Amino acid sequence: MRTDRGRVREHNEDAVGGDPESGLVLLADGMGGANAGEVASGLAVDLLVSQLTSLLWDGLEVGQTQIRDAVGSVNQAILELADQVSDYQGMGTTLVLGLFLEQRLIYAHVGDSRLYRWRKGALQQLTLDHSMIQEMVNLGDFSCIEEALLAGVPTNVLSRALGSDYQVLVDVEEIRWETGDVYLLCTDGLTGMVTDDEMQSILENQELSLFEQADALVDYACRMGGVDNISVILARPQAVCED
Amino acid sequence: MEKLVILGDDGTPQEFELLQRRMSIGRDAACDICLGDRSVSRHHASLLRVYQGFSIEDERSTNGTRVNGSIVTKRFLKHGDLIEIGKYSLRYIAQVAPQDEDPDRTVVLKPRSMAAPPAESAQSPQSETPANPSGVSASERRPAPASPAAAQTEAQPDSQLASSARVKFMAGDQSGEERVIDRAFFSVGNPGGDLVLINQRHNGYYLLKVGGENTPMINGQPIKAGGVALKDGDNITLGELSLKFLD
Repeated sequence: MRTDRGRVREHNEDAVGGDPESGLVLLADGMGGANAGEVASGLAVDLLVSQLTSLLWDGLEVGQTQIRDAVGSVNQAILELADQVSDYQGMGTTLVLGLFLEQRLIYAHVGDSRLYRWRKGALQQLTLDHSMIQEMVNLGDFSCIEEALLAGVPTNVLSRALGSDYQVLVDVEEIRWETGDVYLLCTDGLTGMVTDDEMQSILENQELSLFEQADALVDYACRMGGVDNISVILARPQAVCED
Repeated sequence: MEKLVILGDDGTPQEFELLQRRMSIGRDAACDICLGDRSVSRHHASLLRVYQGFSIEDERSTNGTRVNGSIVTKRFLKHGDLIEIGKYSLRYIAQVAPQDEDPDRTVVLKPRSMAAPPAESAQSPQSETPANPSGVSASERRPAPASPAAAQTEAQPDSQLASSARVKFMAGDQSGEERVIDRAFFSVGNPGGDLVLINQRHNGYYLLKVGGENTPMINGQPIKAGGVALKDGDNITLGELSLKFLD
Protein backbone atom coordinates (compact mmCIF):
# COMPACT_ATOMS: atom_id res chain seq x y z
CA MET A 1 0.00 0.00 0.00
CA ARG A 2 1.63 3.23 -1.12
CA THR A 3 0.50 6.83 -1.47
CA ASP A 4 2.69 9.68 -2.64
CA ARG A 5 2.16 13.38 -3.16
CA GLY A 6 3.90 13.16 -6.56
CA ARG A 7 6.19 15.86 -7.91
CA VAL A 8 3.82 18.75 -8.57
CA ARG A 9 0.88 18.90 -6.16
CA GLU A 10 1.33 20.52 -2.75
CA HIS A 11 -1.14 18.23 -1.01
CA ASN A 12 -1.95 14.58 -1.15
CA GLU A 13 -5.68 14.32 -1.73
CA ASP A 14 -5.53 10.54 -2.08
CA ALA A 15 -6.35 8.22 0.78
CA VAL A 16 -5.58 4.52 1.08
CA GLY A 17 -6.74 2.05 3.66
CA GLY A 18 -8.09 -1.35 4.48
CA ASP A 19 -7.79 -4.25 6.82
CA PRO A 20 -5.58 -6.98 5.38
CA GLU A 21 -6.83 -9.47 8.02
CA SER A 22 -10.36 -9.05 6.68
CA GLY A 23 -9.22 -8.99 3.06
CA LEU A 24 -10.37 -5.41 2.58
CA VAL A 25 -8.39 -2.87 0.54
CA LEU A 26 -9.50 0.46 -0.86
CA LEU A 27 -8.32 3.82 -2.07
CA ALA A 28 -9.87 7.15 -2.94
CA ASP A 29 -8.82 10.23 -4.92
CA GLY A 30 -10.41 13.36 -3.49
CA MET A 31 -11.21 16.67 -5.15
CA GLY A 32 -12.31 20.08 -3.95
CA GLY A 33 -10.83 23.38 -2.82
CA ALA A 34 -8.86 24.10 0.36
CA ASN A 35 -8.27 20.72 2.02
CA ALA A 36 -11.73 19.45 1.05
CA GLY A 37 -10.32 16.81 -1.31
CA GLU A 38 -8.38 15.19 1.52
CA VAL A 39 -11.42 15.34 3.76
CA ALA A 40 -13.62 13.61 1.18
CA SER A 41 -11.18 10.82 0.36
CA GLY A 42 -10.21 10.32 4.02
CA LEU A 43 -13.83 10.18 5.08
CA ALA A 44 -14.63 7.64 2.35
CA VAL A 45 -11.78 5.34 3.36
CA ASP A 46 -12.32 5.62 7.14
CA LEU A 47 -16.06 5.19 6.96
CA LEU A 48 -15.93 2.18 4.64
CA VAL A 49 -13.22 0.45 6.66
CA SER A 50 -15.20 1.02 9.83
CA GLN A 51 -18.57 -0.07 8.43
CA LEU A 52 -17.35 -3.13 6.54
CA THR A 53 -14.93 -4.41 9.18
CA SER A 54 -17.56 -4.11 11.89
CA LEU A 55 -19.86 -6.31 9.81
CA LEU A 56 -17.06 -8.78 9.07
CA TRP A 57 -15.91 -8.97 12.68
CA ASP A 58 -19.47 -9.63 13.78
CA GLY A 59 -19.51 -12.57 11.37
CA LEU A 60 -22.25 -10.98 9.27
CA GLU A 61 -22.50 -11.50 5.57
CA VAL A 62 -20.83 -8.88 3.44
CA GLY A 63 -21.89 -9.16 -0.17
CA GLN A 64 -22.55 -6.87 -3.09
CA THR A 65 -25.63 -5.36 -1.43
CA GLN A 66 -23.80 -4.46 1.78
CA ILE A 67 -20.95 -2.90 -0.18
CA ARG A 68 -23.36 -0.92 -2.33
CA ASP A 69 -25.17 0.32 0.80
CA ALA A 70 -21.93 1.25 2.54
CA VAL A 71 -20.72 3.24 -0.47
CA GLY A 72 -24.13 4.94 -0.63
CA SER A 73 -23.77 6.02 2.99
CA VAL A 74 -20.31 7.45 2.27
CA ASN A 75 -21.85 9.48 -0.52
CA GLN A 76 -24.45 10.76 1.92
CA ALA A 77 -21.78 11.56 4.52
CA ILE A 78 -19.80 13.64 2.03
CA LEU A 79 -22.89 15.54 0.89
CA GLU A 80 -24.09 16.17 4.45
CA LEU A 81 -20.71 17.34 5.64
CA ALA A 82 -20.41 19.64 2.62
CA ASP A 83 -23.85 20.97 3.50
CA GLN A 84 -22.79 21.77 7.09
CA VAL A 85 -19.36 23.22 6.31
CA SER A 86 -19.14 25.87 3.62
CA ASP A 87 -15.44 25.25 2.91
CA TYR A 88 -16.30 21.72 1.93
CA GLN A 89 -18.98 22.54 -0.62
CA GLY A 90 -18.45 20.73 -3.86
CA MET A 91 -15.97 18.22 -2.48
CA GLY A 92 -15.98 14.73 -3.89
CA THR A 93 -13.93 11.62 -4.30
CA THR A 94 -13.40 8.58 -6.46
CA LEU A 95 -13.29 5.14 -4.91
CA VAL A 96 -12.05 1.67 -5.74
CA LEU A 97 -12.49 -1.13 -3.24
CA GLY A 98 -11.70 -4.84 -3.15
CA LEU A 99 -12.96 -7.35 -0.62
CA PHE A 100 -11.24 -10.73 -0.79
CA LEU A 101 -13.38 -13.51 0.59
CA GLU A 102 -12.85 -17.24 0.39
CA GLN A 103 -12.14 -17.78 -3.31
CA ARG A 104 -14.13 -14.70 -4.28
CA LEU A 105 -13.31 -11.06 -4.85
CA ILE A 106 -16.02 -8.43 -4.68
CA TYR A 107 -14.93 -5.11 -6.11
CA ALA A 108 -16.62 -1.76 -6.46
CA HIS A 109 -15.70 1.57 -7.97
CA VAL A 110 -16.89 5.09 -8.70
CA GLY A 111 -14.86 7.49 -10.84
CA ASP A 112 -11.50 6.90 -12.50
CA SER A 113 -9.61 4.95 -9.86
CA ARG A 114 -8.98 1.49 -11.22
CA LEU A 115 -8.59 -2.18 -10.42
CA TYR A 116 -6.28 -4.36 -12.51
CA ARG A 117 -5.63 -8.08 -12.31
CA TRP A 118 -2.30 -9.64 -13.19
CA ARG A 119 -2.90 -13.32 -13.97
CA LYS A 120 -0.57 -15.75 -15.69
CA GLY A 121 1.58 -12.99 -17.12
CA ALA A 122 -1.25 -10.82 -18.45
CA LEU A 123 -2.45 -7.54 -16.96
CA GLN A 124 -6.14 -6.82 -17.37
CA GLN A 125 -8.11 -3.74 -16.37
CA LEU A 126 -11.25 -4.93 -14.58
CA THR A 127 -12.96 -1.58 -14.00
CA LEU A 128 -14.18 0.88 -16.62
CA ASP A 129 -13.60 4.51 -15.66
CA HIS A 130 -16.56 6.79 -15.00
CA SER A 131 -14.97 9.58 -16.99
CA MET A 132 -16.23 11.67 -19.86
CA ILE A 133 -13.65 10.19 -22.23
CA GLN A 134 -14.61 6.60 -21.34
CA GLU A 135 -18.34 7.38 -21.65
CA MET A 136 -17.72 8.77 -25.14
CA VAL A 137 -15.97 5.56 -26.14
CA ASN A 138 -18.79 3.51 -24.56
CA LEU A 139 -21.32 5.44 -26.62
CA GLY A 140 -19.34 4.90 -29.81
CA ASP A 141 -18.45 8.55 -30.33
CA PHE A 142 -14.85 7.41 -30.58
CA SER A 143 -13.64 3.89 -31.31
CA CYS A 144 -11.04 3.84 -28.52
CA ILE A 145 -9.51 6.00 -25.81
CA GLU A 146 -6.48 6.77 -28.01
CA GLU A 147 -8.69 8.18 -30.76
CA ALA A 148 -10.58 10.33 -28.24
CA LEU A 149 -7.27 11.59 -26.78
CA LEU A 150 -6.06 12.53 -30.26
CA ALA A 151 -9.30 14.42 -30.81
CA GLY A 152 -8.57 16.46 -27.68
CA VAL A 153 -11.12 15.02 -25.27
CA PRO A 154 -10.00 16.05 -21.76
CA THR A 155 -9.19 13.27 -19.31
CA ASN A 156 -9.85 15.22 -16.11
CA VAL A 157 -13.65 15.21 -16.35
CA LEU A 158 -15.45 12.53 -14.37
CA SER A 159 -18.97 11.39 -15.13
CA ARG A 160 -19.47 10.01 -11.61
CA ALA A 161 -17.95 10.68 -8.21
CA LEU A 162 -18.98 10.35 -4.60
CA GLY A 163 -20.34 13.67 -3.34
CA SER A 164 -21.69 14.99 -6.63
CA ASP A 165 -25.32 13.88 -6.39
CA TYR A 166 -27.68 12.25 -3.88
CA GLN A 167 -28.11 9.37 -6.29
CA VAL A 168 -24.83 7.65 -6.97
CA LEU A 169 -24.41 4.62 -9.20
CA VAL A 170 -21.78 2.24 -7.89
CA ASP A 171 -20.36 -0.49 -10.14
CA VAL A 172 -20.05 -3.70 -8.12
CA GLU A 173 -18.75 -6.98 -9.54
CA GLU A 174 -17.83 -10.37 -8.17
CA ILE A 175 -15.22 -12.77 -9.55
CA ARG A 176 -13.27 -15.83 -8.39
CA TRP A 177 -9.64 -15.26 -7.59
CA GLU A 178 -6.91 -17.81 -8.24
CA THR A 179 -3.73 -18.49 -6.34
CA GLY A 180 -0.95 -16.45 -7.94
CA ASP A 181 -3.20 -13.56 -9.01
CA VAL A 182 -2.00 -10.07 -8.14
CA TYR A 183 -4.54 -7.27 -7.89
CA LEU A 184 -3.57 -3.64 -8.40
CA LEU A 185 -5.73 -0.77 -7.16
CA CYS A 186 -4.56 2.68 -8.19
CA THR A 187 -5.49 6.31 -8.70
CA ASP A 188 -5.11 8.16 -11.99
CA GLY A 189 -1.81 9.58 -10.73
CA LEU A 190 -0.38 6.19 -11.70
CA THR A 191 -2.37 5.40 -14.84
CA GLY A 192 -2.01 8.92 -16.21
CA MET A 193 1.78 8.59 -16.14
CA VAL A 194 2.50 4.91 -16.70
CA THR A 195 1.18 2.74 -19.54
CA ASP A 196 -0.34 -0.69 -18.96
CA ASP A 197 2.71 -2.29 -20.60
CA GLU A 198 5.06 -0.49 -18.22
CA MET A 199 2.94 -1.55 -15.22
CA GLN A 200 2.97 -5.12 -16.52
CA SER A 201 6.76 -5.18 -16.80
CA ILE A 202 7.09 -4.11 -13.16
CA LEU A 203 4.57 -6.72 -11.99
CA GLU A 204 6.37 -9.40 -14.03
CA ASN A 205 9.64 -8.79 -12.21
CA GLN A 206 9.62 -11.72 -9.81
CA GLU A 207 12.84 -10.58 -8.14
CA LEU A 208 10.89 -7.82 -6.44
CA SER A 209 8.62 -8.41 -3.49
CA LEU A 210 5.08 -7.05 -3.62
CA PHE A 211 6.23 -4.07 -1.53
CA GLU A 212 9.13 -3.36 -3.85
CA GLN A 213 6.84 -3.58 -6.84
CA ALA A 214 4.50 -1.00 -5.28
CA ASP A 215 7.50 1.29 -4.65
CA ALA A 216 8.71 0.75 -8.21
CA LEU A 217 5.31 1.72 -9.63
CA VAL A 218 5.19 4.94 -7.60
CA ASP A 219 8.83 5.79 -8.41
CA TYR A 220 8.21 5.22 -12.09
CA ALA A 221 5.14 7.48 -12.10
CA CYS A 222 7.17 10.18 -10.35
CA ARG A 223 9.96 9.88 -12.89
CA MET A 224 7.43 10.21 -15.72
CA GLY A 225 6.36 13.58 -14.31
CA GLY A 226 4.38 12.80 -11.17
CA VAL A 227 1.89 15.57 -11.90
CA ASP A 228 -0.78 14.13 -9.60
CA ASN A 229 -0.89 12.26 -6.30
CA ILE A 230 -0.11 8.59 -6.81
CA SER A 231 -1.62 5.76 -4.80
CA VAL A 232 -1.11 2.07 -5.34
CA ILE A 233 -2.29 -1.03 -3.51
CA LEU A 234 -1.03 -4.47 -4.51
CA ALA A 235 -2.80 -7.51 -3.13
CA ARG A 236 -1.98 -11.18 -3.61
CA PRO A 237 -4.75 -13.31 -2.12
CA GLN A 238 -3.71 -16.61 -0.59
CA ALA A 239 -5.77 -19.55 0.56
CA VAL A 240 -5.91 -19.85 4.33
CA CYS A 241 -4.69 -23.23 5.59
CA GLU A 242 -6.72 -24.34 8.56
CA ASP A 243 -5.29 -27.48 10.11
CA MET B 1 -27.34 25.10 -24.84
CA GLU B 2 -24.17 25.10 -26.93
CA LYS B 3 -23.94 27.46 -29.85
CA LEU B 4 -21.74 28.58 -32.70
CA VAL B 5 -21.06 32.23 -33.30
CA ILE B 6 -20.24 32.77 -36.96
CA LEU B 7 -17.90 35.65 -37.65
CA GLY B 8 -17.93 36.38 -41.38
CA ASP B 9 -15.70 39.02 -42.87
CA ASP B 10 -18.77 41.10 -43.68
CA GLY B 11 -20.53 42.50 -40.65
CA THR B 12 -22.40 41.25 -37.62
CA PRO B 13 -21.82 37.90 -35.96
CA GLN B 14 -24.57 35.32 -36.36
CA GLU B 15 -25.49 32.79 -33.69
CA PHE B 16 -26.57 29.19 -34.28
CA GLU B 17 -27.94 27.16 -31.43
CA LEU B 18 -26.80 23.56 -31.67
CA LEU B 19 -30.06 21.72 -31.20
CA GLN B 20 -29.61 18.54 -33.21
CA ARG B 21 -27.48 15.48 -32.64
CA ARG B 22 -25.82 15.92 -36.00
CA MET B 23 -25.51 19.10 -38.06
CA SER B 24 -23.92 19.63 -41.43
CA ILE B 25 -21.88 22.70 -42.31
CA GLY B 26 -21.29 23.60 -45.97
CA ARG B 27 -22.02 25.73 -48.98
CA ASP B 28 -24.99 23.59 -50.06
CA ALA B 29 -28.34 25.17 -49.14
CA ALA B 30 -29.41 21.81 -47.70
CA CYS B 31 -26.79 22.08 -44.95
CA ASP B 32 -27.98 22.88 -41.43
CA ILE B 33 -25.44 25.68 -41.23
CA CYS B 34 -25.04 27.16 -44.69
CA LEU B 35 -21.91 29.21 -45.42
CA GLY B 36 -22.32 30.62 -48.91
CA ASP B 37 -18.82 31.21 -50.15
CA ARG B 38 -16.72 29.35 -52.72
CA SER B 39 -13.97 28.77 -50.12
CA VAL B 40 -16.38 26.36 -48.39
CA SER B 41 -17.03 22.85 -49.77
CA ARG B 42 -20.58 21.74 -50.50
CA HIS B 43 -20.59 19.53 -47.42
CA HIS B 44 -17.54 20.74 -45.58
CA ALA B 45 -17.82 19.42 -42.04
CA SER B 46 -20.25 17.94 -39.51
CA LEU B 47 -20.93 18.68 -35.88
CA LEU B 48 -21.84 15.67 -33.77
CA ARG B 49 -23.19 15.62 -30.27
CA VAL B 50 -20.91 13.39 -28.22
CA TYR B 51 -21.87 12.60 -24.64
CA GLN B 52 -21.95 16.09 -23.10
CA GLY B 53 -20.50 18.27 -25.84
CA PHE B 54 -19.77 18.36 -29.54
CA SER B 55 -17.07 17.17 -31.85
CA ILE B 56 -16.38 18.47 -35.35
CA GLU B 57 -15.49 16.18 -38.25
CA ASP B 58 -14.09 17.33 -41.55
CA GLU B 59 -15.98 15.80 -44.51
CA ARG B 60 -12.93 15.58 -46.83
CA SER B 61 -13.34 19.23 -47.69
CA THR B 62 -11.12 20.84 -50.32
CA ASN B 63 -9.65 23.48 -48.03
CA GLY B 64 -9.81 21.60 -44.74
CA THR B 65 -11.18 22.45 -41.30
CA ARG B 66 -9.05 24.12 -38.66
CA VAL B 67 -9.55 24.32 -34.91
CA ASN B 68 -7.42 26.94 -33.16
CA GLY B 69 -5.17 27.00 -36.19
CA SER B 70 -4.56 23.26 -36.61
CA ILE B 71 -5.99 21.15 -39.41
CA VAL B 72 -8.29 18.51 -37.90
CA THR B 73 -10.16 15.45 -39.10
CA LYS B 74 -12.10 14.89 -35.91
CA ARG B 75 -11.88 17.12 -32.88
CA PHE B 76 -13.72 17.35 -29.57
CA LEU B 77 -14.65 21.00 -29.05
CA LYS B 78 -13.90 22.95 -25.92
CA HIS B 79 -15.56 26.17 -24.86
CA GLY B 80 -14.09 29.06 -26.86
CA ASP B 81 -12.51 26.97 -29.63
CA LEU B 82 -12.12 28.87 -32.91
CA ILE B 83 -13.13 26.84 -35.97
CA GLU B 84 -12.02 28.03 -39.42
CA ILE B 85 -13.97 26.91 -42.45
CA GLY B 86 -13.06 28.63 -45.70
CA LYS B 87 -13.12 32.37 -45.10
CA TYR B 88 -15.38 31.97 -42.06
CA SER B 89 -14.46 31.81 -38.42
CA LEU B 90 -16.82 30.13 -35.99
CA ARG B 91 -16.55 30.36 -32.24
CA TYR B 92 -17.83 27.40 -30.20
CA ILE B 93 -19.61 28.43 -27.01
CA ALA B 94 -20.29 25.64 -24.54
CA GLN B 95 -23.19 25.72 -22.13
CA VAL B 96 -20.97 25.92 -19.08
CA ALA B 97 -17.74 27.84 -18.98
CA PRO B 98 -14.95 25.46 -18.01
CA GLN B 99 -13.03 25.65 -14.75
CA ASP B 100 -10.48 28.41 -15.16
CA GLU B 101 -7.37 28.08 -13.03
CA ASP B 102 -5.91 24.59 -13.16
CA PRO B 103 -6.60 22.53 -16.28
CA ASP B 104 -5.38 19.40 -14.44
CA ARG B 105 -7.95 19.74 -11.68
CA THR B 106 -10.46 16.94 -11.78
CA VAL B 107 -14.03 18.07 -12.34
CA VAL B 108 -17.25 16.09 -12.21
CA LEU B 109 -20.00 16.43 -14.76
CA LYS B 110 -23.32 17.25 -13.22
CA PRO B 111 -26.36 15.62 -14.73
CA ARG B 112 -27.78 18.11 -17.25
CA SER B 113 -30.67 19.10 -15.01
CA MET B 114 -28.26 20.10 -12.27
CA ALA B 115 -25.96 22.14 -14.47
CA ALA B 116 -28.39 25.07 -14.54
CA PRO B 117 -27.68 27.87 -12.07
CA PRO B 118 -29.42 27.40 -8.72
CA ALA B 119 -32.93 28.84 -8.76
CA GLU B 120 -32.49 32.03 -6.69
CA SER B 121 -31.64 30.07 -3.54
CA ALA B 122 -35.00 28.32 -3.77
CA GLN B 123 -37.07 31.52 -3.55
CA SER B 124 -36.38 32.30 0.08
CA PRO B 125 -39.46 32.80 2.27
CA GLN B 126 -38.50 36.44 3.02
CA SER B 127 -38.61 37.55 -0.59
CA GLU B 128 -41.84 35.68 -1.08
CA THR B 129 -43.91 36.90 1.88
CA PRO B 130 -44.74 40.41 0.61
CA ALA B 131 -46.11 39.03 -2.64
CA ASN B 132 -48.15 36.47 -0.76
CA PRO B 133 -51.23 38.11 0.76
CA SER B 134 -53.24 34.89 0.71
CA GLY B 135 -51.43 33.73 3.84
CA VAL B 136 -50.35 30.43 2.35
CA SER B 137 -47.07 29.43 3.90
CA ALA B 138 -43.95 29.46 1.81
CA SER B 139 -43.36 25.75 2.10
CA GLU B 140 -46.80 24.92 0.69
CA ARG B 141 -46.26 27.31 -2.15
CA ARG B 142 -42.99 25.80 -3.23
CA PRO B 143 -42.92 26.06 -7.01
CA ALA B 144 -44.03 22.88 -8.71
CA PRO B 145 -41.48 22.68 -11.56
CA ALA B 146 -38.68 20.29 -10.78
CA SER B 147 -35.99 22.91 -10.35
CA PRO B 148 -32.60 21.61 -9.25
CA ALA B 149 -33.21 23.06 -5.80
CA ALA B 150 -36.51 21.24 -5.46
CA ALA B 151 -34.92 17.98 -6.56
CA GLN B 152 -32.36 18.31 -3.81
CA THR B 153 -34.80 19.10 -1.08
CA GLU B 154 -36.74 16.00 -2.07
CA ALA B 155 -33.68 13.87 -1.66
CA GLN B 156 -32.76 15.31 1.70
CA PRO B 157 -35.55 14.24 4.03
CA ASP B 158 -33.88 10.83 4.01
CA SER B 159 -31.18 12.32 6.12
CA GLN B 160 -33.50 14.03 8.59
CA LEU B 161 -33.91 11.55 11.37
CA ALA B 162 -36.26 11.32 14.26
CA SER B 163 -33.75 11.13 17.04
CA SER B 164 -33.51 11.82 20.71
CA ALA B 165 -29.73 11.70 20.86
CA ARG B 166 -28.04 14.99 21.73
CA VAL B 167 -24.67 16.48 22.42
CA LYS B 168 -24.17 18.94 25.26
CA PHE B 169 -21.27 21.36 25.05
CA MET B 170 -19.35 21.26 28.36
CA ALA B 171 -16.63 23.77 27.44
CA GLY B 172 -15.85 26.28 24.72
CA ASP B 173 -17.94 29.09 23.23
CA GLN B 174 -21.15 27.11 23.19
CA SER B 175 -20.77 25.79 26.75
CA GLY B 176 -24.10 24.69 28.18
CA GLU B 177 -25.81 24.43 24.81
CA GLU B 178 -27.45 21.22 23.67
CA ARG B 179 -27.96 20.17 20.11
CA VAL B 180 -30.10 17.35 18.83
CA ILE B 181 -28.36 14.99 16.45
CA ASP B 182 -30.90 15.42 13.70
CA ARG B 183 -29.08 13.99 10.74
CA ALA B 184 -27.26 10.82 9.83
CA PHE B 185 -23.92 12.62 9.75
CA PHE B 186 -23.71 15.40 12.30
CA SER B 187 -20.58 17.54 12.34
CA VAL B 188 -19.01 19.01 15.48
CA GLY B 189 -15.94 21.23 15.63
CA ASN B 190 -14.16 23.69 13.40
CA PRO B 191 -13.95 23.32 9.65
CA GLY B 192 -10.31 23.40 8.67
CA GLY B 193 -9.39 22.48 12.25
CA ASP B 194 -10.51 19.72 14.54
CA LEU B 195 -13.71 18.27 13.18
CA VAL B 196 -15.61 15.08 13.93
CA LEU B 197 -18.77 13.51 12.58
CA ILE B 198 -21.32 11.70 14.69
CA ASN B 199 -22.80 9.04 12.44
CA GLN B 200 -26.11 7.38 13.22
CA ARG B 201 -26.26 3.80 12.00
CA HIS B 202 -28.89 1.13 12.46
CA ASN B 203 -27.10 -0.14 15.53
CA GLY B 204 -26.19 3.11 17.21
CA TYR B 205 -23.99 6.19 16.99
CA TYR B 206 -20.36 6.35 15.95
CA LEU B 207 -17.75 9.04 16.24
CA LEU B 208 -15.51 9.61 13.21
CA LYS B 209 -12.54 11.93 12.94
CA VAL B 210 -12.64 14.14 9.84
CA GLY B 211 -9.74 16.53 10.22
CA GLY B 212 -7.47 18.45 12.56
CA GLU B 213 -4.30 17.88 14.52
CA ASN B 214 -5.87 16.60 17.72
CA THR B 215 -7.06 13.06 18.13
CA PRO B 216 -10.61 13.00 19.47
CA MET B 217 -11.00 11.16 22.77
CA ILE B 218 -13.93 9.33 24.28
CA ASN B 219 -13.75 9.21 28.09
CA GLY B 220 -10.04 9.92 27.83
CA GLN B 221 -9.33 7.17 25.28
CA PRO B 222 -8.14 8.22 21.83
CA ILE B 223 -10.43 6.97 19.07
CA LYS B 224 -9.06 4.79 16.34
CA ALA B 225 -9.46 5.64 12.67
CA GLY B 226 -12.75 4.51 11.27
CA GLY B 227 -14.91 5.38 14.24
CA VAL B 228 -15.99 4.20 17.65
CA ALA B 229 -19.45 3.47 19.04
CA LEU B 230 -20.91 6.07 21.43
CA LYS B 231 -22.85 5.32 24.63
CA ASP B 232 -25.13 7.55 26.68
CA GLY B 233 -23.04 9.78 28.94
CA ASP B 234 -19.78 9.43 26.98
CA ASN B 235 -17.46 12.42 27.28
CA ILE B 236 -15.99 13.51 23.99
CA THR B 237 -12.94 15.76 23.96
CA LEU B 238 -11.59 17.35 20.84
CA GLY B 239 -8.76 19.80 21.46
CA GLU B 240 -10.32 22.64 23.45
CA LEU B 241 -13.80 21.31 22.95
CA SER B 242 -15.58 19.08 25.43
CA LEU B 243 -18.97 17.47 24.88
CA LYS B 244 -21.23 14.96 26.51
CA PHE B 245 -23.16 12.50 24.36
CA LEU B 246 -26.72 11.87 25.57
CA ASP B 247 -29.04 9.25 24.17
